[in-house]
Amino acid sequence: MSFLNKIDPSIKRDTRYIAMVVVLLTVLMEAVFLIIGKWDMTVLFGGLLGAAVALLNFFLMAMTVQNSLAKEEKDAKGAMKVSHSMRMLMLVVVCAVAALLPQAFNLAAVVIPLLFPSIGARLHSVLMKS
Amino acid sequence: MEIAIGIILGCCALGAGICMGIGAIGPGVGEGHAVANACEAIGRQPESKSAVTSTMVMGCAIAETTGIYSLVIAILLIFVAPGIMVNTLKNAIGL
Repeated sequence: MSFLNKIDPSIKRDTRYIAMVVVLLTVLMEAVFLIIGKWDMTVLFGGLLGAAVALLNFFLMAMTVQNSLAKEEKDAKGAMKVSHSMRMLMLVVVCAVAALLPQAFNLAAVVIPLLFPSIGARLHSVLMKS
Repeated sequence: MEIAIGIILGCCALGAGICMGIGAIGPGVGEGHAVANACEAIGRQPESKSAVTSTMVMGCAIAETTGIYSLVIAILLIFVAPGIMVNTLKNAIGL
């Protein structure tokens, strides 16, 4: 509970919004796989893994931004670079696991959801403008 | 044949490394600059922290897209491209 209390309300709101977009787009992706006749359990597991990792990546980035904003400029810059490298490493490991276990995860179904948070962020900026 | 396969695998690995290395520089540096400037903005106007944080998070998510594109290309170069290229080579020489 104490960890949740430390999270900025704006980050909670943004993460909820991104989670909603990721879930919606993942369901859409599963539906597209079903329509083109390529759906099986590996696509389902891959979609779940990809969506979870995409959301975790966004949340970790948001937490780094929150922590960085309380630091000095130079430290903030360094913290963001380190966080970016670590998160990229996490994504590479997840994609490698998905590629090495084709009987459990469909690689395309893991990789595609990683792009959903940026789609959500672009959609958010469009909605805010309108 | 083995030399050709070795060259294909080596080039794919090299391409993936270059792709990931160069592709990840941009978002990392960009996010760092953006957050540093956001720190400065919050220092000037502390009451705008919530709005700046929200904008920053969404901006960073967009900035990271290019890094994820390069990751996808690197993964394809490592795990998908070698198989396709080796099969194409085998078909071309009739093995």
